[in-house]
Amino acid sequence: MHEISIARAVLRMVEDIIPTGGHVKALRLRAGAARALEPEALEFAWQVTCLDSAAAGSKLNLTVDPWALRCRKCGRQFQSDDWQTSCICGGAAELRAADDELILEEIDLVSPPGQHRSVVQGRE
Amino acid sequence: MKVPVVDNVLKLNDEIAQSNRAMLRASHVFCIDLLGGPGCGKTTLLEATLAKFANELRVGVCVGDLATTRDADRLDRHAVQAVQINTGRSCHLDANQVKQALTHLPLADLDLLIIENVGNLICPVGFDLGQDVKVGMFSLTEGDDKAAKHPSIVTACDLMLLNKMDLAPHLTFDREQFRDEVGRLHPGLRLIELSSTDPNDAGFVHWLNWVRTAVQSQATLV
Ligand SMILES: Nc1nc2c(ncn2[C@@H]2O[C@H](COP(=O)(O)OP(=O)(O)OP(=O)(O)O)[C@@H](O)[C@H]2O)c(=O)[nH]1
Ligand SMILES: [Mg+2]
Ligand SMILES: [Zn+2]
Ligand SMILES: [Zn+2]
Repeated sequence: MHEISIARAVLRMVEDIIPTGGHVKALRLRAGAARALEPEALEFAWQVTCLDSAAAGSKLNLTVDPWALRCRKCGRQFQSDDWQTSCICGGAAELRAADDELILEEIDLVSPPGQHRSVVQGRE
Repeated sequence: MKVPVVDNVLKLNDEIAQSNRAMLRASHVFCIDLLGGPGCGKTTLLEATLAKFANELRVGVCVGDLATTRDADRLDRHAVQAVQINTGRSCHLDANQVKQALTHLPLADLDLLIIENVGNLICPVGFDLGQDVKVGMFSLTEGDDKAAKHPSIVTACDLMLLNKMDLAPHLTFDREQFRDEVGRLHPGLRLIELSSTDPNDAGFVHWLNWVRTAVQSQATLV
């Protein structure tokens, strides 16, 4: 369910950014593992949310970063999509950090004819 | 044309949360966001906590639920003020709903505000409300695998409660495994085992002391 709220937040952001008349083809988002987002669930929510907008039919590509882990036995640092993954030495791992970022990274846009590169807001 | 953006999707929510936080700070109100699955015992914990603090702290509560005002009704007897937020179809509270709720609370007369989030282990975790701390709650009846299955609530919270300890004799719940998994997900996280229905027991007293200390540390900050 929270995918819908997130899809709405994405749409609000996209509508703020794109120039009038522009149409969105695709979006790229990145989430930390602790955000607990399923790419398929978000894509489904997105298809419903963007229906009557300048992003209708666009593809939302979400990449989920893996968990950052540290082996409790040998100290090795590694990454895995499953936080319960053991180290190659057999030791149990603990979390180094829990990343819950959710970043809109890129919009793939079709600009209306005659319009130049738009000014894009956002932090660098 | 590919346009780079690189911006936080929840920026709007997070900005409102920051302004809620500033507003609460200005009134010297410490704020707890209480998170846990449906029926884990959040309202029961709050009822008992409010009763214990009756002559000590001025506590306001704000309860998020999909529907009904039942939880707020239960808490109204004990709190300085209880505000119900019906989220309708939304499965979590967001900063804007809390912002509205704050306008119904006498902030100047409060020391502590506890927000009971919607009973849900996933959604509420990722939405900053403007709280000072998040307290996560699991209960024995949910099973000992819930921390492992819902890692985000464990990583996000500043204190973890394990409720319904009185039922331990009737259930198989591997407390060692649960502790181990919580410890691996959030190294150093404090875990308090308690029964919300047994406010005179040691576990509940630890919880009350934790709240006291947290409220005091905030009070001396400002
Ligand atoms: N045995 C026992 N029962 C408890 C304890 N805490 C809560 N309960 C019971 O668990 C049930 C649910 O408690 P609530 O306090 O309503 O749970 P909640 O988390 O507020 O539920 P929602 O707001 O609907 O998500 C009630 O029947 C409580 O009496 C406990 O420590 N021990
Ligand atoms: Mg409740
Ligand atoms: Zn939700
Ligand atoms: Zn190892």
